[in-house]
Amino acid sequence: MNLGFLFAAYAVVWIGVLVYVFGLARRSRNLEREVEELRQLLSRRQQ
Amino acid sequence: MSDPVLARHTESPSPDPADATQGNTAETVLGVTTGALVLAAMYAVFVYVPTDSFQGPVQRIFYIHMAMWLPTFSAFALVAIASLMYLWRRGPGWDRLGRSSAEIGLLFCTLGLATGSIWARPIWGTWWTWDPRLTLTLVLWMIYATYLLLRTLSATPEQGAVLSAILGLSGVIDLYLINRAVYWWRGIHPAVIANREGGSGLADPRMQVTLVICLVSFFLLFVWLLVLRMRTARLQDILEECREALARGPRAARV
Repeated sequence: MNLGFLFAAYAVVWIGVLVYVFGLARRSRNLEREVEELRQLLSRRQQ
Repeated sequence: MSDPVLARHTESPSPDPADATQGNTAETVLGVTTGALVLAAMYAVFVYVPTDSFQGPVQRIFYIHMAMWLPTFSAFALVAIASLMYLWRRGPGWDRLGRSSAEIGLLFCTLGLATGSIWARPIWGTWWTWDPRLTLTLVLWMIYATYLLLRTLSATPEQGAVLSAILGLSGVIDLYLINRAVYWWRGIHPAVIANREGGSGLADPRMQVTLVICLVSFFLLFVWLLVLRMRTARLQDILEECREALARGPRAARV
């Protein structure tokens, strides 16, 4: 029946997509935090 | 604040609705629609579509395998357009589009190669063969992996952007060759959508419907990922701009 191959193909796709999405979300969160910290630092300097 | 870059990025700590660095309603709607369509695609693949009489259940890999290639080719076509525009206009937006598309295209290309290989093992009896289309697709993967690597290996971001834009533009030739490979050279890769005799390899209409749902849903997934990746790229650019502006400032050492 080769069901193992069917399962493996779909598992590979979903694991790949999910790892990428979570990685991207983490990258985005870190960048947002860094940009916000920089903005606050610069605002303090401006005052 | 004398530096215009710093002034621009410190003006408003609260999110502007039009700010490309923030998520919005359209993005959420796109995400939800994509999720629903992907679920519908999985229902079609595992419940709706009939089992292929020749290959058996393993033929169902075909739907997700095919669905990986529309985003791959769209992404790399976008890289080529963005590369051309970047080389012509040198706008940072084009560079962001190019590197975002290349990254997502490489993801789908990797998954397309992997699913093809998993399908090939029970059907062809091998994980990999040097068929013209497969070989050209592997070359495509290498071109865009190099495209992304060039950015980290170049001396300056500008140099990396220019070199990778040249490479990204040349990748179009490989895209065209992949499309024509099954017609020009004798290989074992099947031409399913329009076979060599001019007909379709999908006899049952339910197979065609399932394929269309899969293609549309994964194309939407690509668009959604591209929107998210572009936002991240924009944030990266803002951060770089701020750091450079701070380095130019008198108190740069304190950052």
